[in-house]
Amino acid sequence: MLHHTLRNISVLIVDNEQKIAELVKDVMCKLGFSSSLMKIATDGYTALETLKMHTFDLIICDWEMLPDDNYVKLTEHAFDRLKWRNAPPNNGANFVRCLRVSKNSPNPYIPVIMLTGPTTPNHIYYARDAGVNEILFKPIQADDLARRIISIVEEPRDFITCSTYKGPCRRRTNAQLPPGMPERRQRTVKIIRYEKHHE
Amino acid sequence: MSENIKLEAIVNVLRKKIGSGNALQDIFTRGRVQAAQKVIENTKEDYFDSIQGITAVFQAAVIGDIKPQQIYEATKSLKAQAEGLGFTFLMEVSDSLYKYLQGKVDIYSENPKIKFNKDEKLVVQKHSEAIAATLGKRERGKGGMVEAGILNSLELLKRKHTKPGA
Repeated sequence: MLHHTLRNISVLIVDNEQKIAELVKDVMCKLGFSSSLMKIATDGYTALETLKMHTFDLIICDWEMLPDDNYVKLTEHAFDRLKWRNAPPNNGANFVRCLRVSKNSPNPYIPVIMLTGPTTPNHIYYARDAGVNEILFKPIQADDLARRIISIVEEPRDFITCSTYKGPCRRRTNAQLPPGMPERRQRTVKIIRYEKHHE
Repeated sequence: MSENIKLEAIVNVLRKKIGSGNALQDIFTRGRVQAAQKVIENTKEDYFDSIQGITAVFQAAVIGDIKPQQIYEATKSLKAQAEGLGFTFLMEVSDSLYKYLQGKVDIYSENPKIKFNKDEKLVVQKHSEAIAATLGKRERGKGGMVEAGILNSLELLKRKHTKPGA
């Protein structure tokens, strides 16, 4: 029974719009995930608190959740290590950044799919630099969501840690690194490779 | 090293839960994806009946009953929901109002207070007219020349009533 294989994967949906969060949850249920293992958090701060109390395997996070009363608390938390100033007014990317870099992060390696309406290059770069694994453009389409999940599970990218970034490798292609880059990487970057899983 | 061990455990948990013998492509069958898409289509179909609270706020604003905090919250919700469901014109017109209102409120404040002057009320009212009409027509798409004209007019109105440098 193939569908049972997704039944014990826990998912955290972070969106301040209850209607959209419920829609994502319903779509995930139809894809085969268990309703009882999905939780909804309405902002980044609540999501971090939820992550401290429960274990999740995947996060689906909205881009724009501001303004909300928890924003101030979240930014204080997010800035505790890298002093990520000049953040645009959203807390989806800030939440992911915080999840990746914070000393108190409950799980910095958890895969994150970011839902976003704006599709400008700056938005993409910003989400990428926050440490998002996959970006899913709105409107929500079931096959797009399924493809992002497949990508995370079947083609996981190395996890990079350096002084300015922590998250999945931002290079998606297998293109050769520029001259000098491999040596520089060895000095300044910690790369954690995903193990191939064999039964 | 401890990070390596932690990561390995997390990756193994996710993959193990799915099972290495099961490719996700095989789990997300065509039927399953279609059923999931059907949920989205049903939500789109029932959408306008499910947002009577939001509709009422804009209908009240059309006749001059403008409650700033209510308008702000309703606009924020409408923009996010229309964006998620792909109602392009509804998203664009609510986004126009949302951006205008963002300039009037300190989003970093825990208790944002909004007060509209006469000009601002006019901008909000005209946006509300467009939104209320769109909700009444149940416009789900991008619209045509008329809708493009409405967006253009609203943009001009915002500019007219925005002080230089504000």
